[in-house]
Amino acid sequence: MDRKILEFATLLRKTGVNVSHTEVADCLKALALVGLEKENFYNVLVCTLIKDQSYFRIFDRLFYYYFDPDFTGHRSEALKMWPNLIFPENNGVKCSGVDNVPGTEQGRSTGFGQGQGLATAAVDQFVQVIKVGKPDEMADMVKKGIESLGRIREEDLEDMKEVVRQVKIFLEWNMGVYRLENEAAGVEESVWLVWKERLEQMEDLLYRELEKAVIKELGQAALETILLRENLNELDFYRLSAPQVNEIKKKLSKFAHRLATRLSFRQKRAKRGKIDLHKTIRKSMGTGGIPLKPAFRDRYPTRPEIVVLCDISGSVKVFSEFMLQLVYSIQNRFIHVQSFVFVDTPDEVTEYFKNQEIEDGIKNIYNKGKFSKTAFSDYGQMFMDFCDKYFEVLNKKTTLLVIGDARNNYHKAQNDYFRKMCREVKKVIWLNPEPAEKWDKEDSIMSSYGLCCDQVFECRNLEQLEKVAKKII
Amino acid sequence: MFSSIEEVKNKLTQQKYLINDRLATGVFLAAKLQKPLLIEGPAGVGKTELAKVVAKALDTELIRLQCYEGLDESKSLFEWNYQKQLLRIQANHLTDKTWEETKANIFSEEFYLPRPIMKALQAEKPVVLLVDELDKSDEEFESFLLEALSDYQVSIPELGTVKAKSIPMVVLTSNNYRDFSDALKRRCIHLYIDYPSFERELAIVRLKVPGINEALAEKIVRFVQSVRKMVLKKSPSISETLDWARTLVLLGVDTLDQELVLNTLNILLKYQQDIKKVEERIGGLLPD
Repeated sequence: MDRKILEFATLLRKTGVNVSHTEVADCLKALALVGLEKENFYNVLVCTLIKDQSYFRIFDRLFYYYFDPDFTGHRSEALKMWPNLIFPENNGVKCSGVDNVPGTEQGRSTGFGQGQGLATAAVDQFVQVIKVGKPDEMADMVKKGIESLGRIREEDLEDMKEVVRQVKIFLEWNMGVYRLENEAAGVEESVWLVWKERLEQMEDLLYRELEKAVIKELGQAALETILLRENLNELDFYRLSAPQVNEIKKKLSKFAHRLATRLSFRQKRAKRGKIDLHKTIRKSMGTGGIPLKPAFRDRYPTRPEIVVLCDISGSVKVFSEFMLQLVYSIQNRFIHVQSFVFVDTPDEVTEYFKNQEIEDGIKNIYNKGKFSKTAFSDYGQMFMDFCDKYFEVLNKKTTLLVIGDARNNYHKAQNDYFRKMCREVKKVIWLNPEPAEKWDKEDSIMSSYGLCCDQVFECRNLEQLEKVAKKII
Repeated sequence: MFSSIEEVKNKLTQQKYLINDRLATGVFLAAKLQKPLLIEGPAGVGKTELAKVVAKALDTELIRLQCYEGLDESKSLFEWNYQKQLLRIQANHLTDKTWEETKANIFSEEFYLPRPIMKALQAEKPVVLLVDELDKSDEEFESFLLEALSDYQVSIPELGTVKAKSIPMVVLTSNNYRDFSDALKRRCIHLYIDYPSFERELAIVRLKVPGINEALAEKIVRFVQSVRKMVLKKSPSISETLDWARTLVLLGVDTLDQELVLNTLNILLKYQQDIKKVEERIGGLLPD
C-alpha cells in the first residue's frame, strides 16, 4: 500500500500540488492509525496531503480516478487491497463561482443531426432532470451522453472541449439551459438558484465521467495528460475551462494582496538615505540635545501612473480579464490606472471600475463598451484611433501596458503611430499571452511592435503572470 | 486524549458541537500524531469554537493567542520584566552585592513574563494552544512559529533551548486572508470548514437555540441556505444564522414574513450592497 500512496503523491505533484515527503510520511502514519475503511481513507488523505482548499477539486478528481476499481491496471490490485472501499462521489467541495452559467457562452446551439423527433424529447428530459435534481438521474443522463460518443479515440484526449461540446449537443444542453433561463423569470429566486447549482454539478459530472471514460480506454498515460492540464500554474490561459477560470481569479486576488503587502513591508524596513532633521532633533532631546542616532525620512514609494491597453478579442479575452483584475486589485499602488479595451478601436473603461466590484466592471465593459467595429482585431487602426482620441492621457510619467497577441489580421501595422505613443511615455511593456514560438507566424507582427517597446514578455500561464507582475510593480 | 474517531465525535457532541466525519478525522489525527491543526474557512463557521470545545472535551486549559499585524515574540513567547529588573538593580545598588551577582540574578525565572506560547510549552498537563487568525500576523511571525510548532521547543538567547514539558495540542485558524508558506503548511494537519448543509445547519440551530419553534427553525435555515447561493460579498455563516435565530426567538415570532425579514436582515448580512441585493429579491427567497 505504501507504494500506492507514493505513486498517488507523485501524480498529485504532477498536477502542481506540493506534496512533501513529510506529508506522505504523515499520511502513512495516519493510515496506520485509522485504518483503510471507507470514508476514513479519503478523509485521511485530504487532511494530510492537501493543505490548500483550491486543490480540493483536483484532489477529488484524482482520487476518484486513481482509486477507481475500473481503472485499468489498478482494478485487481485495488480490489484485493480495499474490497470494502466505497468511492465517494460528490463528496468534495462544491464549485462556488456562480456568475456564469456553463454553456451559455455558446448561445443556443440545437441538436441537429440527431433526428427531429428525438431532439425535442432530449431537451425536455434535460430540463426535467435539472428541475428534479436527483443525483442518479443526473449521472444517468451524463452517462447516456458519453455513450453517444461511441468508442473513445486518441484524438479525443487532445481536444476535450470539442468532445464536451459534442456531448452537449447530443443532450441539447444549451437549449435546456436557455429554456431554464427563460423560465427563471417565472419562478422564485430560490428555485432558480438551486437550478443553477445543479447545472454546475452536472457540468462537473460531465467532465469527470468523460475523463474517466478516456482514462479507462487509454490507460495511465491519458491520466497523466489530463492531470497536467489541471496544473493551473502552468496551464495556458486559452485552455482554461470555466471552473478553472474561477479558480485562477481566486488565486489572483490572493496574489494581488501578497504583492501589495510585500511592497509595504520592504519600504517599512528599508529606512535609510535621507536624514529627517526634524525627527533627529526631537530624538536628541532624550540624550540631552546630543544627536546620537540620526533619524531617517520615511520612504514613500513612487507610484506610477499606468495606462492599460487590453485586447479583448476572443483570442486573448481571458488573459485580458485576468490582467484587469490584477491591476485593479492593487490599484492603491498606483496614482491612477486608466484602462482602455479594444478590438479594432480603443474605448476608455476606467469609469466602469470606480466603486464597483471588479466582476461587475468587466461585465459592464461588454455591455456598454464601444470597442469593436468589425469584430476582428486591428492593432494598426486601434493605435491610430488612440492617438486621435486619447493621446493626452500619455505623458512622461505614465507606463503603458499593452496586452495582446499582436495578431493583426493582415491589416496595416501603423508602426508610426505606435512609435509616437511610445516616445510620449516613460515605459512601454507588452504582454503577449501566446507562446513565444508562435510570435511572428501567420498574422502575428509581434517583433515589429516589439521594437518600440521597452520590454516584451511572454505571459501565457499563471506562473509567468506572477513573475511578470512582480517585475512590473 | 482521544482514542478513536468515534470518541472525538461523541465527546464534541456532548459539548454541543456538531462535527462531521472529516473534521473528526482531522482532530483525531492532530491529537494522535501530535501535529498542529490548521483550520481554514470563511468567517463564522466555527473554527475558533472547535478549538474551544476540544479543550473542554479534553478537560484541559485553553491558551489563546490572538494574532494581529505587528505581533512579535515579546508578546507571544516571553518578555523580560524590565521594570522589575530595574528595581532589582537599584535595590542591589544599595547593598554591597557585586555587579556579577546582580547580573546573574536579573536573568532568572523570577524576571520573566511567559506569554501564551511559552505558557503552553511549560504547562505540566497538555493544554490546547489556540493561535487565532494566524493569517493576520506578519510573515516573520509565521517563520518564528515553525520551531515552536515542529519541535515543540523555542530557543532563547539568554536561556538556551526550552523544551516543552508536555506537548500541547496546537490549533491554528485562518480566514484565508493570505496564503501561508509551504514550510508551515506541511507541518500541519489541514482542515477546511465550509458552510454546512441544510440538515446539519438545522441540527446546529436546534442545538444552540433552545426553545426555538421547529417550523421557524426550518424556515430560517432554508432562507439562509438560499441566500448563500447568491453571489454576495460576505455570505452569512453559522454564527450569523444563530444570531438571527436568537433574535427572532427574542422577538417572539413563530413564522417568517417579508417585513420581519427586511427589518432584521442586518443581523444576517454585513454589507449594504448585500442587503440591497437580497431586499430586491426577497419575495422569491422566502420559503412558504
